Parts: sequence; structure tokens; C-alpha cells
Amino acid sequence: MSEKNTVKRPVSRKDMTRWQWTWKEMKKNKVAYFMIAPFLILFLTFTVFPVILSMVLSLTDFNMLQMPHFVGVSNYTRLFFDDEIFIISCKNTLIFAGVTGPVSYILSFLVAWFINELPPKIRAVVTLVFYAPSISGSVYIIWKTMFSGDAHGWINGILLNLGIVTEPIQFLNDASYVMPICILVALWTSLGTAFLSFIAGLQTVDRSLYEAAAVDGIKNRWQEAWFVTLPMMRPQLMFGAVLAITNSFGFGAVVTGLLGTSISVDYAAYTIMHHLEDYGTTRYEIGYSSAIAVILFIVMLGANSIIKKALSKVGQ
Amino acid sequence: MKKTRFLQFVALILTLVTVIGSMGITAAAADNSGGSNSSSGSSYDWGQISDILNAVSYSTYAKRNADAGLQKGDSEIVIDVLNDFVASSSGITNEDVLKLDFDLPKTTLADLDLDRYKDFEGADSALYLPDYGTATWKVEVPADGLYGIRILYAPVSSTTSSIERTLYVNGKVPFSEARSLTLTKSWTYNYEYDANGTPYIKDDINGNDLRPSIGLTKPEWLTYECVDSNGYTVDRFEFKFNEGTNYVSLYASRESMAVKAIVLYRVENTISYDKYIENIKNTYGATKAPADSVIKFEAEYPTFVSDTSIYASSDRTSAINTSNKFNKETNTVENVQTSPGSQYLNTIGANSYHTAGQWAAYTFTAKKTGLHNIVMRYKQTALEGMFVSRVLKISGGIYGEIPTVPFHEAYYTRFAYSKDWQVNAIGNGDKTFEFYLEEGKTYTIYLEVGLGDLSAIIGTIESTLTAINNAYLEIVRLTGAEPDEYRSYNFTKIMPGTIRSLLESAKTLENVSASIKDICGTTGSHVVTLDNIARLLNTMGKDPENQIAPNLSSLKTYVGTLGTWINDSKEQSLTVDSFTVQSPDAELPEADAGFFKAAWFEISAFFKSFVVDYNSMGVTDVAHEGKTIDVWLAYGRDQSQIWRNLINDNFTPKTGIAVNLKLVTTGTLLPSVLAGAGPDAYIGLLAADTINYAIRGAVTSLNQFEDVDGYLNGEVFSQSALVPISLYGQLYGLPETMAFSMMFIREDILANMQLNVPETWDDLLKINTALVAKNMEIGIAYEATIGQMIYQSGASIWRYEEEGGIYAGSQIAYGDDLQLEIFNKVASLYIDYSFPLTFDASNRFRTGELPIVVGDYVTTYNTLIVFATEIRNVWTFTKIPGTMRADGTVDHSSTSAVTATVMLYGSDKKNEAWEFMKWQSSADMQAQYGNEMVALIGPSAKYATANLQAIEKLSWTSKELANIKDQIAELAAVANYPGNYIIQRYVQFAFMDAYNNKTDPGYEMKSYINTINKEINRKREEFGLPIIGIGSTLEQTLAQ
Repeated sequence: MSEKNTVKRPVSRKDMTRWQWTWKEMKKNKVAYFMIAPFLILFLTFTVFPVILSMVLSLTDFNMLQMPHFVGVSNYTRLFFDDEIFIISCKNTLIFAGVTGPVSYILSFLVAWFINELPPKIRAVVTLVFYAPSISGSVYIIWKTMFSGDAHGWINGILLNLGIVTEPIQFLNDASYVMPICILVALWTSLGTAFLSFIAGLQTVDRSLYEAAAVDGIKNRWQEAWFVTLPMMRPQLMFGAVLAITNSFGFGAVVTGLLGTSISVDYAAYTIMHHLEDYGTTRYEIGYSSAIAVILFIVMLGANSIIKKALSKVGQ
Repeated sequence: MKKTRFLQFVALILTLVTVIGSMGITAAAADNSGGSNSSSGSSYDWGQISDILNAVSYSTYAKRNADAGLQKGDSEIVIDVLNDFVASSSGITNEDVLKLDFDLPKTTLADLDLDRYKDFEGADSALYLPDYGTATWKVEVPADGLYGIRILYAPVSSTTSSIERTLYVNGKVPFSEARSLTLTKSWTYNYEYDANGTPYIKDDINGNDLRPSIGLTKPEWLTYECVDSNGYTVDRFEFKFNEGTNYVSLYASRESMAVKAIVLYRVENTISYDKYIENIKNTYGATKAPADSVIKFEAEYPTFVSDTSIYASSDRTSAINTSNKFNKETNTVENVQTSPGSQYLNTIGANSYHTAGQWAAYTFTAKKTGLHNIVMRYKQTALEGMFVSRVLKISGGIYGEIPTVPFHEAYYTRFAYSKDWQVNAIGNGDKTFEFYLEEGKTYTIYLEVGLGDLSAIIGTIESTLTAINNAYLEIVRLTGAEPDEYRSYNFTKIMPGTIRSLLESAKTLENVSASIKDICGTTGSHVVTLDNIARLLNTMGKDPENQIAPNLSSLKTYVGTLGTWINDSKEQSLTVDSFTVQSPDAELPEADAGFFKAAWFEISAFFKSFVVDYNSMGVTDVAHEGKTIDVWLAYGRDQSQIWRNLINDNFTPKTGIAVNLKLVTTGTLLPSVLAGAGPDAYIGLLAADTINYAIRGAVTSLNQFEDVDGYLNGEVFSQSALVPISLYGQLYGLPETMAFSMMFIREDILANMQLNVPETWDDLLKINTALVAKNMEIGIAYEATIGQMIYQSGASIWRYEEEGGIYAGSQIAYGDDLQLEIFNKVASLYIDYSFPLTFDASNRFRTGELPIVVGDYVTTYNTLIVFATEIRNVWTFTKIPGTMRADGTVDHSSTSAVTATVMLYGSDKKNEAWEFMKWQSSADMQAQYGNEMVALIGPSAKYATANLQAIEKLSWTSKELANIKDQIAELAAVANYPGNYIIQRYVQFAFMDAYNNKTDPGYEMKSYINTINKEINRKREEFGLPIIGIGSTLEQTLAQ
């Protein structure tokens, strides 16, 4: 050791390249990296990697069984310029997202807000009642019995008995009914995780803030909500919004469950998600369905950043 | 219908006078001569069918005879089957009923194995009865009286189903039970024997027992005494015969047989047990046998069994289950206990020895003279809180040659429920039975499944169910299935009989419920159901106007529950390890292993499970080890287990190829092929998937094998099974299942309304008018109907199939005139005639709202057989309605859904896989698999095998089989060309658009044709297949 000869001077950020610096920092914090490793590995393998993979696959004609060939952006050109069904599915998805997204988001918040006013014991029960549809998996298929086209279906049975109709209505096989019914059922199941996080968020708001706000001249409950409650629970709002977006853009399972098939009559309730499934499974065109997935991914990212901006305005 | 009545009357006269019996359902007999000639001239005779359906029960029949003061006949009258045989025009003809003449060429008697009967004593005086038609004999009876009927018969075909006959006395089915009399066959296993004559079972290189093969017992005359094949009545039937000439006929519902004699005899009442013991003591001075008189035998070695489904199985729930094992060093058979590592076949019964009438017989020689107990080591976990019963019959020694119950109580033996193994002397709960045996004499004991104490009860409940059901139908015909609670229907005036029968049924059920409580000592859920129904019926019967309407649907639910309970209670499963015939003074064997022994067994079994190679089970030859193919199947555990056993017993020992059979979930195949980890063969791939995989190079064409031609000629598989899995001349799999639509009809309803079975779609429309008037409808699915009608008209859904070569299937034919017309016609059924579009077929068929339903024959049958037990016997299925051809005949073509067994392209053991596929789809294996499924799971597990030869060996009745074969003869072959998935989608769109918006169906369909063709073209381009431009034709394309 010849420490006497060397001048000991702290290593500065300027002495090394950016990568070297990062590496050094990583070594310094290796325990933290070690701790995060299990999650990171899983996240990379099962979330990031598939996203990248599907981006790559979207440039090929992969069919699940044979070696893929590179086809350039032809999947995308076909998607945008030679696929009428995709346009229909975009339209449907936007309608779904436009209706169920905001409505379920607002509904979640309002219900959470009302429930929050209830005494704790009743609150627990009511929370369960509202949350139950979304935890019980595919329980929404009971709507299938309700809207069944059978003369013994609940609604048809009632309508026939009352003499309103003479023949059962094919609710789930009629282009003019399918969409509204699916939206209705989607809303019913939508009080999910976002709703729970709102309830949690509402309870974390510091009571003293309301007192302070009252002193500062808050006039009514709406102002209280807008200036105190909402800004305080911005993280939960963000969380809920992200969920609402993913759910409404990735909407499809409810339709498939209700109809028993992803292909609704005249593509009336056919969403991008269905289009993706249709090409991925029925037609074995993974390349093309990857392209759809990529588009969906980009749309969701865009929607996310818009929501972020909108939420930053809360309370202002 | 007057004319028909008159004709019947004339026929009846003729029967009596000229002895040309118009007996039996002649329709079924006329299997190839009749067919489809006249427009609505169906060959069904509703008058006779309703006669049969409405035949009284035996108890009513017996009571009537007793009331009439009829006595038991005194004499024994033997019918000479050859000379007393009466040829009849409507029954089977002389040509069909042949003397058992062994010089006949084999072709005359299809499956009669003549060689077997070369030295068969008495065969030259016997008569061969085919599996169809009615055979009639005349018999002179000295005085009016009651006689039992005994038949000396021999089974002649080695198919696994039992023989079934309908018995007519003087041209009439005397009572409903005579509709189906079951004559069992006798089977013997081919065991190995050591020097002492002790039987043992061969094993594989790892010491696992291999199930022995089975064959019909060496020809011998079996005796059948007419009894209730359901087991509801234990006593032998007594038939009323008049003084003078009488006629006895047998109508074949299942299987051929040889008959040597038919005997009318006096049915003696069976004596009580006390009387039996008294007799024995008085006559033989019998005392208990000496304590050392103990004969033990393993239950898994029956001398004879009635069914091939009664076989040895492996049970490892107890460490002390015993079985015979050959010791190669000492060259003798040893009695060994359950092995923790190997599979020993050590018990019999399990789940397949449970239907009334099935029996297993054990022959033994008594060691000492005296009274003996029969002690059984068994496990009964089937009927909780109740008993399972076996009828105990003995032959030999003082008991005579015909196996009979020695005393009345032997009908009512009880095997109580317990989760553990039990050891008990056979008895009826009150006492254990002692049997007198004589030293050196050979005896055979028969353990026949019976319903014991429940027999009469189940019978009563079943007939009450029928009564309730008929009442229900009556009501529904008036009110519809969902009556209006606020309307006054005037039930009491319109149907007083029905109301009375509701009250009577309530009374009966109350009595039955009380007696079940007596017998079982507990109030189980079924008793509660009985009480509930009784209460409901009382309410409905006492105040019909106010109570029938609101309670109708709950009555239906209860009736269904009860039907299921009857089915469950009739399954008398019992697993038997061994039994001993021993002196009452001898000590009882151990019931189960002690704690330490059992614990040690479990521990060693656990560790052994790490080293045992379950795939090589059945490998008998070390030289072939290592040749293992991977086979996957995506069915249930039961199915996989049956295939596993069949492979172990039949495939691996014969070919030396070990099979690694894996149960996977559907959808596993695709990723596995992608990862290059796929199996060599896959069982049960849908036809559409087969083509999808094949066209992408994942499934191998079978044309590379030379012997594939044997499968293409239509003898093994129907074209309608081959075409969906072939593409442009290449076959991509062997068909495994083939399901097709057939028409299910409620015979009772149609007979009641005097409606004929519709031959054509036009007939169907006519019937619809009559049905709608009675609140009933017809259930058909539009997608299937469109396809069926198109193929019935000789057209196809594809263009250029015949002449197109590689262009076949490149365009859709839905836009052609004929197809559009059919599309319009089907749409009008729903739009103009209001056929229901969405419906639960089995449920509404059961309630009678849809007396005619077209559906997949196996699925619908399987559902109805367990789900709708209360309408058992009153429905049948037949060819679907057809389309009239130009020459006036009717085309009944139906479409089929196919699954295939395929070989994966990546397989490096293609020859072995091909061996396996051939074996798996062979008639024998398919039949065995199908029959084992039924044995294991029950009658609802009928299997839609694609193998045409195997269908005949499955347990369908002759009538059902004839109908199925009729339909198979008319099946359309629908090919799966690339892009076919798009068709159904747009057909649905077009149909629903027309239906919902009441627009022109043809126009809607036409608007989608180009879209469909465009998608097909896109797919064809993907696979490098030539295309025909949109709007262009084949000729134009070829010209370019």
C-alpha cells in the first residue's frame, strides 16, 4: 500500500462517463438492487419483454406454428388502410371507453364518497355489496339469463307475460341492443379496485384539514371536496384513472362472457380487444394481432398522459 | 285415423285366426325394406306404441289375475322351438330364423362364431334368433292358469351387451316390465394356472398385474326365468295363459341368441329362511360344519361373470387386500397382500358392478358337510346411510342345476355403508345366513346385483313418477308451461281424472316415505323430497283452481330431483376383496390392517411413488423398453384412466411400445408445438384445428403410410368423418369421434296427438301447426338446419368441390340460387312460423314443451338419459327430417362434427405413433373404450365413436342402433377449407339481421358473399393456394 504517494481526493462525477457513474452508484447501492431483483426480474421477463416482443412480432407474419418472416410495416398499413373491421372495433372501443371509463370513474368516486359518510359497520357491508360484482369473477353471466333470447329468459318472460311483446326479443343477438346491454353490465362490474382505493383514500384525509378549510372560508360540501378531499387523494385518483383507462380500452371479456362469443352480431359490440383475439386465435395471425396490440398500447399510453395532465388541475 | 284403427282390428283378427301375428313394433324390424317411400307415410304405428307405453305394471297385472281367481298352472309345458315355431309375415321370416346349422357359410349369420358351436351339445335342436324382428311360438295349455316362462338359451355373439327381448303373450305385451327382459351372457376370464390349478394373473416386468382377457364361456345352455330386469319385483313373473292354443313371441331389442327350449312352468313360492333351516335339519340332520372347514377365494377370480365390465381392479386403500401372485421360484401361486409399489389387481366390483341383474359366480368344492356361512370382505361407499344388496343364488348339490335363491331372504341381503373395509357373514341385517353344503360336491354361488329392500319402493316411486308426469303433461297441454295464476282454468271439470291421480300419487308417496324411514332408520334428503312432493300434490289436488298454476314449476323441479335419486339408488356399487365359505364356528378374517401396518404401508407407498415408472406399465418384454411415445389427450381424468388401462392391457404388451399418456388442457397443444415440445400423437383434436395445424405444417399427413388406404374406403370411417380432416387429397388424422344431429321425439305426446314422425321439413311444418295449438313448439337450430338442407338438396356450402381440384373451396356457395332459397326457407321458419330461436332443448323436451328437438345424438341422449329420468322410455330418436328428391325419395342427410387423433409433424417416432393411432382407432378398442365409459360413468357416458364397426358393439339397443346406422348412411361430408371460420359468422349476421329487422334474408346473405370470399382469398394467399378473383368464376380464372 502506498497511500503516502497518492493524493486522496474524492472521485467526482466529472471524472467518469455517465455509464461508469451509474455502475459505481449501483455497486454502492447493491443491497437495494438485490432487494428489488426478484420483482425486477419478473417484471422484465413477464411485462417488459412481452411488450418488446410483440413490437418485434408486429413486423412479421408469425402464425404460431412456423418460423416468422419479416414483413416490414405491412401489418400496420393493412390495419389502417385495408381493415374495415378494425375501424369498427376502434369506434366501438372509443364508445365503450368514452362512456364506461368516465362514468365508472365518477361513479366509483361518488359511491365511495357517499359510503364514506356511513358508520363504519354499515360501511363495511355496503362496500362489500358494491365491490362484490367485481370480485366474483364472471358472475356477470347472470345477466345472460336476464337478457336471454329464450321465451323463459327473465326479461323476455316478463315482457311476454305483460303482453308487451309477442315474441322473445333476441337481446344478445340484435345489433341494436347488444351495445347498451354490454355497457350496462360493464358499469355494474366496474366498481372494482379503483372504488376500494377511493374509499381508502377518503379515510386517509386528515380531519384537521377540513377544520382548517372551514376556518379559511369553505362554504359547502362541494367546495370541501374540490379543495380538500380531492387534492389530498390525488395518488388514489391517479391509480383509479389508470385502471379505468386500461379497463375500458381492454374491454372485451364482458362481451365475450355475455354473448358466448367475441363476435357480436354485425360487430355491434366488437372492440379492439376482440379484433386482437380474433386474429390471434381463430386466424392464427399473431404478427397482425401484435400490431393491433402495439396500437392499443400506444393509445393507452397517450390516454394516460392526458389523464395525468387533467388530474394535475384538480383543486385549482 | 279411423282407417288405421280398422286395419289394426283386422290385423288382430288375422293374428288370432291365421296365426300370423302382427306383433311387435314391426317398424323396427323392417330395417331395410321399409325406409322412405311415401310422403308422410312414416312407419310408426302410434296405436301400438301407445299400447306399449300404456301397458299396466306387473303388480297391477298380478293383482288382476289374483282377483280373477286364476290358479298356478300345474304342469310343465315345453315348447319345441323348432316345430312350434310360427312363421309370420310381419315378424321375422323363415330365412332369418335359421336352425343352428353349422355347415352354413359364415356370411349368412353375420357375427355368429360357428366354430365355437361345433361340439355344442343340443345345438342341432336349437333355433338361432337374429338381433331384429319377432319370433313366435304356439303352445297348447291344458287349463287356464299362471305360468312362469323359462328360456334355455345361449349367447352367440361376443359383443359386450346383454341380450334384450320384449315378450308378447298372445300378441300383447302383458305388462310394462315385459318390454325389456334382460338375458345375461356368461363370460370367463382367461387366467393362468399353476400346477395346483390355482388361477393367477400375468404381470409385467415391474410386477404390475395385467388384466386378463375375457371371452364368452364355452358354449353351454343358460337358463333364464322371466323376472323384472329393473329388479323392482324380486319374484319371478307369472303369465296368464288361457286353455287351448296360446302364442309366445320374443321381439329382439338387442343381440342375437340361440334358443333351445321355452318352458312354461309352475312358479313355486320361495320358502322362508326358517323353513329352509327346518327342512335341512329334518331331511339331512344337518348341523354346523366343523370349525376347520374354511374355503377362501379371491373375489377377483370369478368363475363366470355376466358382464365384461365386472373385472378385477386395483385397490390400495387397505394394506391387507389380498390377491394371487405367481412365484417364479417356487412355481406356485401365493396369496399376497397389497404392494406399495406395484399395482396388484386385488378386488372386484368398484364402480362397474352395480346394475340390477349383473352377477359374478364362483365355483368351489365343499370340504366338509354341514352348515356354512359365507363371509365377505367388502367396502360399500356408494349409498350413504343405506344398504347395497346382492341376491344370493346357489346351484349344485341339493340346490339343483338352475341357480336359484335357496330361501326368500336371500333376495334381501344387506351390505351396510362404511368408509372402512368390513368383514361380515352374508345376512339380511337380522341374522346371518347358513347354507348346507355336502363334502366333495361342487357348488356355484351367484352374487347378483339386486335392489334388496328398496326394490319394491323404487318400483313404486318410479310408477308414481310416471303418473305425476302424465298428470303434469295433461295440465301443461291446457295451460302451457307457465300458467297464468289469475286465470280460471276449470281443472276439476276438464280433467277430473288427472286431479284424482294427483291425490292418489300423494297418498302413495306418503306410504313409501314411511316405509323408507322404517327400513333405513334415517330421514335422508330423498325422504324429505318425497314428503315435499306429497304435500305439494295434496295442495294441488285439493284446491286445483288456486294451487295448480302457482305450484306447477316447483312440482317439475321436485320430480326431477326424485328421478335423479332413483337413478342413484339403483347403482348398487360394492367392492369385494375376498370371501370365505366357512363354518359358523370358524373365526372371522381380519377387516383391516392394524395401525402400524397401515402406516408403514402408506409410508412405503409414498416413497415408492418416486421410483415407479407409470409409463412403462404393461411392458412385458425387456427388449422393447425405451421405445416410448408421448400421447396427449384433452379429456377428463376418467377418459385418460380408461385409455391408460387399455394401453397397459392391450397395446404395450402386444407391440412393446410404451406410451407416456398425458392428460392436458385444451389449448396446450399450440404452445407446445411452438416450443418444439409437442407429443407424438394427440387424441381429440377438433377437425377445424386439425386442418389449421396441418396447413401450417404442424400435423403430419398420414398418406405417407402405406396401409392408410384401408381407412379411406368408407368401411371403417364414414366419408363425413374423413373429409373434414382431409385437405386436397391428404388425410391429416384418424377420426376419433363423429357426432351428428338426429331428431328426438316424445313418443307419448305424438302418439297421444296421433301425429306421425315427420319425414320431411314440410311434414315438420304441418306438425308444428298441430303442436302450436297445444302450447308446444319444435326445437331446431337454424345454423345446423341451413347446412343440413343444403346437403340434402345435393348441394354444398362450397363451390367447385368436385371439379375444382386445388381450387375447391375457394369460393362460398351461399350466394347461389338454391342455397339462397334454402336460407330464405329456414329464416321463414323463425320469422313466419315463430320457431323458438333460443331454447334449452333438454329442459323443454323434458317438460314436453318441445316434443320434437333436433340435436347432436350422443350429447342429447346422454343428457336426457340422466337428466330426464322421469320420461325414460317415452322418447326415441330417429333420422332428421329430410328433403324430397326429384324421384320422390327423401334425403335425410345430417352434418357431423368430428374430432381426430393426429400425429405431430415434429414426432421422431412416426412409425410407433402410427401403430398407436391404428390401435387406438380400431373397432375393438373404440368399442371397449366406449363400453368402459358407460360402465364407469353410467348410461350418460355414451361415446360417439367415429369407427363404424365399433358403433355396433356399443350398448345401443337394436332399435337405437338401427336408427343411428340409418342416419350414418346419410351423412354429409363437409370439408374444412382455409378461411372456413368466416362463414358461420356472416351467416349468423345475415340471419339475425333478417330476423331482427324483418328484412329479406336472401338479400342480407347476398350482401356478405363478397366479404366472405375476400377473407377466403386472403387466407388462401397466405398458404400459397391459387385464388379466384372476387366476382370471377373458376372458368374465367382458368381461362386466364
